[in-house]
Amino acid sequence: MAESGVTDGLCNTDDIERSKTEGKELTKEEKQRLRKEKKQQKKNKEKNDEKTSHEGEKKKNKKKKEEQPAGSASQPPAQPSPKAVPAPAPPPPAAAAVPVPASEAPAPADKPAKSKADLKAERRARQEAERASKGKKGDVGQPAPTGKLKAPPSELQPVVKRLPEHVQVDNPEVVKKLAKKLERQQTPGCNAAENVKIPLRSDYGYKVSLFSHLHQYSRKAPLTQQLGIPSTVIHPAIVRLGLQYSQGIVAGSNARSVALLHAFQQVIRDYTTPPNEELSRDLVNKLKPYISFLNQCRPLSASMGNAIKYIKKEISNIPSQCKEEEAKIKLLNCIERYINEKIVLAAKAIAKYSIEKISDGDVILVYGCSSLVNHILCEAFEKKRKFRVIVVDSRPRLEGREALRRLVQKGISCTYVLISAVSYILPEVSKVFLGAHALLANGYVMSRVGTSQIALVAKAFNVPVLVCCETYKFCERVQTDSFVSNELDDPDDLIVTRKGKTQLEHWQKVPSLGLLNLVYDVTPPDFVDLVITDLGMIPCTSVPVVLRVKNVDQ
Amino acid sequence: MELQAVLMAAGGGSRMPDLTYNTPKPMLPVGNKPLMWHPLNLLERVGFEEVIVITTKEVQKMMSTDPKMKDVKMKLDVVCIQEDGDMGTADALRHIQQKIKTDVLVVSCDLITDVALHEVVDLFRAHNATLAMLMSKAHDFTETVPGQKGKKKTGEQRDFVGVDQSGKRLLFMANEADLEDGLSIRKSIMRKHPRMHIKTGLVDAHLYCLKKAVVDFLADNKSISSIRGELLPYLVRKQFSKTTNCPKSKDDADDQTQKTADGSTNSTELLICSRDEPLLQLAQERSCWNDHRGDMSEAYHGGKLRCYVHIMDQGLCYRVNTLAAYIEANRLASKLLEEPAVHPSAVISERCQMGPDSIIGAQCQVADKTSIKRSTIGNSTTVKEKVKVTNSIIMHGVTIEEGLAFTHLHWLRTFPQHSLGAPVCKGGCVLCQMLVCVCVCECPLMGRATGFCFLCTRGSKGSAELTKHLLVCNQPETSSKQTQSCSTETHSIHIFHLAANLLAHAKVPTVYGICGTRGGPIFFSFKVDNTVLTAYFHGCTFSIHRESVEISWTLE
Repeated sequence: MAESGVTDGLCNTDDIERSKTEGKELTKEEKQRLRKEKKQQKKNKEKNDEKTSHEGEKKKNKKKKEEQPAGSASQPPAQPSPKAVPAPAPPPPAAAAVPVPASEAPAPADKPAKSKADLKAERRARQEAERASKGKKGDVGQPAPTGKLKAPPSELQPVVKRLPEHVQVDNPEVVKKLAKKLERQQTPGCNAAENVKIPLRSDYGYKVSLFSHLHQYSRKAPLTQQLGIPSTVIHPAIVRLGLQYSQGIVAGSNARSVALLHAFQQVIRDYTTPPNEELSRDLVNKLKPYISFLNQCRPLSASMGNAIKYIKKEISNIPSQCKEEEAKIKLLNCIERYINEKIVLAAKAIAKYSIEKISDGDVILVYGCSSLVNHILCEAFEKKRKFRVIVVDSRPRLEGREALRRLVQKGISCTYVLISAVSYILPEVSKVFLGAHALLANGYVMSRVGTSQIALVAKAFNVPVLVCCETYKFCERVQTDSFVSNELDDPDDLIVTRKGKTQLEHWQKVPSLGLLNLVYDVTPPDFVDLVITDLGMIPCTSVPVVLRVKNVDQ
Repeated sequence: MELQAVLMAAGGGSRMPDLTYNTPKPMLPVGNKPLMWHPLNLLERVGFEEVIVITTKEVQKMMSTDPKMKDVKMKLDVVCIQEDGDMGTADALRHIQQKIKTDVLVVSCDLITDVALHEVVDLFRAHNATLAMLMSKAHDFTETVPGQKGKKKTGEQRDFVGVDQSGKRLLFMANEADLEDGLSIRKSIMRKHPRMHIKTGLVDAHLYCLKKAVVDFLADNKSISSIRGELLPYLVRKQFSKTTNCPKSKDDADDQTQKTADGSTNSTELLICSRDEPLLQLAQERSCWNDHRGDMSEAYHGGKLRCYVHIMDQGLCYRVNTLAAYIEANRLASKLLEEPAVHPSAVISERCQMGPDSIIGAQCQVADKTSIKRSTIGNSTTVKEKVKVTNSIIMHGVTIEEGLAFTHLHWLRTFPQHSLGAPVCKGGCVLCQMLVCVCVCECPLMGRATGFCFLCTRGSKGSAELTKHLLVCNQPETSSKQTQSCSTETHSIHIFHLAANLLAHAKVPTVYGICGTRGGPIFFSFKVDNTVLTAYFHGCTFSIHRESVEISWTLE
């Protein structure tokens, strides 16, 4: 996996300092993180103590610890058991694994060559090594080495990143760790009794090989099953949103981001800072369990990751002397502005650019249901461009039908085919417009599964492929295949009932049968002629440039 | 706070007067717990910490003394309403409007279910619904119940429930009673949902999630008095009315001043609309999801008012509002409760045959050679030797004497000892003092059934005795001779004889009874007028002389 160059920070909820900002902000975040680390360390020690020390002595120990300066680490962990030490894994760099130059995309060919077992073994070896090195480090003050690692964060230099938990489901240790982390997440009060417990959603069914490291959930077993009904732990708006995500009522990365930001607005509105806490720190902590809840309802999209990063940054930027009401209004405005600028206005800008590319008599092929592409086509139609649209669709979601409905409703003349007919229909197509889930730093386009097939066939027919994507969906991750980081949807969606017969009803009982309902795939930049963004039309390979500019701006 | 729970526990139980004449329905024991404990437990299990209980003064008093109610850890906010105030459920909800701060979950006190409540609430949450409710497949009660035999068909009016293809969206609702000739469905529904499944045989569990706006709407609209009868059909209908679908109505100031039905209608819509913020709408616009296909309209057809229903196809769901349901619920209570069937403090002989579906309460004593099957036995009850109890509900503090067999006795209860009357028969065993035993007789007139008649006394301090002797002798003594030809009248006379006996000795003002016959149950009642008893039965009037206990009757 290291070879494939996966550096995924987006869904990693506890490090806000992903955006390589410089100067003040960084130091501030740095401080914050250090503080967190200390806390974690302390807690960790407590755990160790509890293990060794007698029940009666527990109190005494605690007192002792309180007397000692936090994080001084003078008290050596009684049992340097390998499990206990890495468990907290708080700072991403410390637990870091894969230093990969983000812009360097290794050859995609060597990935499939590796067998799964090899990969597993490798991963295990690496983790062992980490653990060993960390075990040593853990005893000495932790902050120092992390600081060193964090030192040159500017530009897209080698950045140390950790593999997120959600792509390591096949590793029981990581899963255990995640469960622990979920249990540990605390309410702002930091009171042990008030522990926010987010249940761990259990995986469903047998997973196809090569994908056992991803989560696969059943829609029929929502996370709310394990929560209290008047949800006191998680804000009702978040619970609702999580359900809407997992049932697909809110689908599409734009819709998901807007809905997320809207839910956050409600959270912020209902938020009051507890006494002796700072809004900037407390609110970020409060959002954490919410985000891990949402992440379990459906893995977060790249766009949501960026939005979360933005909000967290805005929250931590609020000065401590700022009044609560003021700060809340400020944050609400920030969110409003983000939606407006990054999503609504960006869509308008993209529509403006792309209309230039639509000429009279064009036959445009679209795939699935991208809200942005729909918007563009509707705008172009209103601008009196004369064109025809071919909507390509695929099972099991059949989102193309919704796209078709929206386009036909506007009066655009459409043809509807399934993806299996794409090579038949392509000779009459003059342009292909595709939406994107995310644009990766190596220029790969992550989008609904099937997109890369369309792009490939279009390339073969010499039809230009245009990808439309807002810049807020740009992502620093590097990925060259669809295996490492992807999403598995409910396999039961693949089951069809026709004439009262359900063929695959009992698929779980057949041991040799696995259903794979993959959600995304990645399209290599070779197949994409142009990316239309709110900054203008760029080639795929310019993604890092945009990212860098964005970082500097922020 | 996301949802507030409201428990409606002020109902009188008008459909089972035999059971509720001196215990209010919420306090009727089911599985040795008060009926209202079951919905409260359901709420507590899913994580509610506070419940508003709407009830009567009487129930409140009993609640405070009932030991089982102390198991409930939740904070109960008891609101009393007048007993005879004729208040409907919607009126009650309006009554507590001040306390309602969020959306509400309304539960009836007679609901016994093991539903995964999150299914209903998730529908409410995910679709931002105005109403989400629970329904269940109707159960055929395995036990036949006296007083139901002949009436079964006419008893309950059927409900017609229309759902969409997913089976979740509630599109249509009508009761048989309201239909004149045939089911008429509005065109606006058919246009939007060309395929609608109309289901019958569903029972409304009376569990509703309602938006706060609906409660506010009730406050404005005083003509609605019942949730089930009026509010629900209104909301379901409103999903498809034109006004809901068009953008906000304009002159709200006008509407608010007008107290007409129209004016207040508009004001709810305004409230419901205002919750749909522009951002949410933006998200919905961008989402590539639709709840239907086949036409050109957007998700939910642009409607803001949405009703959903979760129909349980597995699991238990009973509304204990009839005798049959009560008996059934008691039989199934052992499955619902996680506690051991036999209370730890009960003393049970090893040589007692006990079925798995029986519950035995605290401090019970069960002697040797007894058999207890499909029965609930209340606290501190003594069951003596060679007793057979099947399909019965024995209340608290009953003593069952040696050798008795209850095979279809459904309800046996006792009252404090001090009001005990004199025994009727010498050597008679005192089972209980006030006794209701509703019985089903396999063949009452053949003399085979053992205890097929039931007698019930009413009155504040009524007392009666049912003895072993009576149980035996309520088979017509002549039955051996007249096996087949035993007429209803002869049998009834026998019962009257017993009743008169009771009246004479126990000095109760009125005796009510049912006797089971092949032609269905017959109700009769006795009244004492000085020395002459008058009974009304089967279109006949009977007079019984009190002293001589001689019966003469005249056909009218």
